[in-house]
Amino acid sequence: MKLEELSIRSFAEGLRRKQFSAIEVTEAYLKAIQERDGVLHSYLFVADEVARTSAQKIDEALASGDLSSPLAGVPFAVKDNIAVEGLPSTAGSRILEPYIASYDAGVIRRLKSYGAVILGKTNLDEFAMGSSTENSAFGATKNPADLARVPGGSSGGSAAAVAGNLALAAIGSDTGGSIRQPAAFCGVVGLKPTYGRVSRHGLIAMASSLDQVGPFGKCVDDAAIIYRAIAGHDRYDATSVPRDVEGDKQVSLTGIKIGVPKEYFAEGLNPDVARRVHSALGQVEAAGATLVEISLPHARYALPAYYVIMFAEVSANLARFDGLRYGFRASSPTLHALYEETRNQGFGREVKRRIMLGTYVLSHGYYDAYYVKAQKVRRLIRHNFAEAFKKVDVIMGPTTPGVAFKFGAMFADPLSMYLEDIYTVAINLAGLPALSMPCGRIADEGKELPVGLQLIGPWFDEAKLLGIAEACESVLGFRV
Amino acid sequence: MTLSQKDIIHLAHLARISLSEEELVAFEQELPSILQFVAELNSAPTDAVEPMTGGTDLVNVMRDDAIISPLGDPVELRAAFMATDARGSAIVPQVFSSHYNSPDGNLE
Repeated sequence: MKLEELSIRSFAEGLRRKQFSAIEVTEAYLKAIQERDGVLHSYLFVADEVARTSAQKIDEALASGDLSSPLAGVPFAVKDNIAVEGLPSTAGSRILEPYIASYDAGVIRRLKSYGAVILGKTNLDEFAMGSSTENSAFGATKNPADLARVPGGSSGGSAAAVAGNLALAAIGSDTGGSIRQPAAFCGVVGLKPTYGRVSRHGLIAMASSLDQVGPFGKCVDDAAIIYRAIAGHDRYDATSVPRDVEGDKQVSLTGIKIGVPKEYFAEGLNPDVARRVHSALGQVEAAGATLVEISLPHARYALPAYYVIMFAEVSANLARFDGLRYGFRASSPTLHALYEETRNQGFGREVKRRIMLGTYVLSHGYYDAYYVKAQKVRRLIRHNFAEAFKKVDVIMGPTTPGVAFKFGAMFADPLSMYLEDIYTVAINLAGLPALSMPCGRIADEGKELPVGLQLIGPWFDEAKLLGIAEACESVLGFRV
Repeated sequence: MTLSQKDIIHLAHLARISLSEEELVAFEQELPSILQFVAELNSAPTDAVEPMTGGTDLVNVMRDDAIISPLGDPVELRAAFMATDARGSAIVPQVFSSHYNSPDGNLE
């Protein structure tokens, strides 16, 4: 068994044919983590004993015929802002360093019920705020494609674990691109489902109207299998939508209309990335799809609207980290000083920056000018997509304006880091499902680096989105 | 767009974060440039556009409040089970220690 050759489907087939057992594969991943994660740093915590116990139980259940599930025994990595009972959930922050989750998140309950094995918790930018994992309080993760570069973020640990064969699959969260951008940088598939499709219960909130949990896989089929397991209504999440989840959809590219937004190929896009994405779109067109140029006229406002709304929600959500309820507590003589010192020592620079900006845009005299204005623009952006989907089945473009950058390249300038999210944030504002899949590599300073193709689908039609993505994958031929 | 050091300190107070001298200096540069960037929103035409206040079109299912007392009159219930004062309010032990009281005697 070679870990780099496993997919979820081939793993299940191998288990069925008794080529290996769940515990053998879990042991192989734990060994790989021990040997190689010292360099990559994709995990913050490895739950080796828990993983062994659950893999053994899966083997027993399989032997007695009690379990039949596509995820039985599949070794997962879970982003460390998602609660797994009994394991640390630091969200990459000092303020939650001593915190142990007391319950399973909605997605974890579902994964466990399907027999998934959780290997550990993965690194992220603190509270999912960042595009490189450099904002983690516990050190950055490296990109398996080039150790001198970032894996993207904020779910960089999850993406690097899958790309580096330190987990067969992973779970992340996406507020403005935090699944899709690291998937693009590491050369794996990452899906952000429709807002409301997957439970956010047990996800440590960053911006609640934008956050969504989703899967990483080595191929579209892996992401689709995980998606179908985690999607669905959860009564513990009031924004989860009670709608049936459709099964597999086989899609032929013949007759599929692909919207290509001209705004996504404008200034700021790396020309080599643009060529790579155009060439991929050309291959898809040659396979029978029709390319339609579309316009998303409010695209230029997506980034400012996203940042205002996200700052506001961050400042409200992170008010709960006060030194009294969770984790770290500074020693101080008065209650006020206890709040201020705990938050000063517990939060990193980017988190403080966003809380300050959120406090500003929500404060008296600025609320209408920033926050309400951004919410109005949000509706316009959503409307742009609704109009586009009257004409096309799917929208495609680059996931990111460039390839994985080097450590420190953007760190000093917060605005340049924010611009990394230019093609991904509008999807969160609109609440749409979107995925990033590999569409080849380009050379940059002697390294071959992955390029991500972003596919955006209509609301709640992940089945079609994944079907189209799978058809594209077989045409493009890029699989980990 | 400028923010004075006084503005930054006020924001930090509202956000319940104490900042180091170095952070104060950095934020004095960074926050205005980010606010400048998001000010591009001002050029978006949004007359007659309703704000989008959440991620879904779900709406709360609302009904009028109805006051019910399934266990009987609350004042009588309190009197039966708890120590009460003359107004019928329950008397409970003090839970805040003087440790967190501010010098003027008020809870902060």
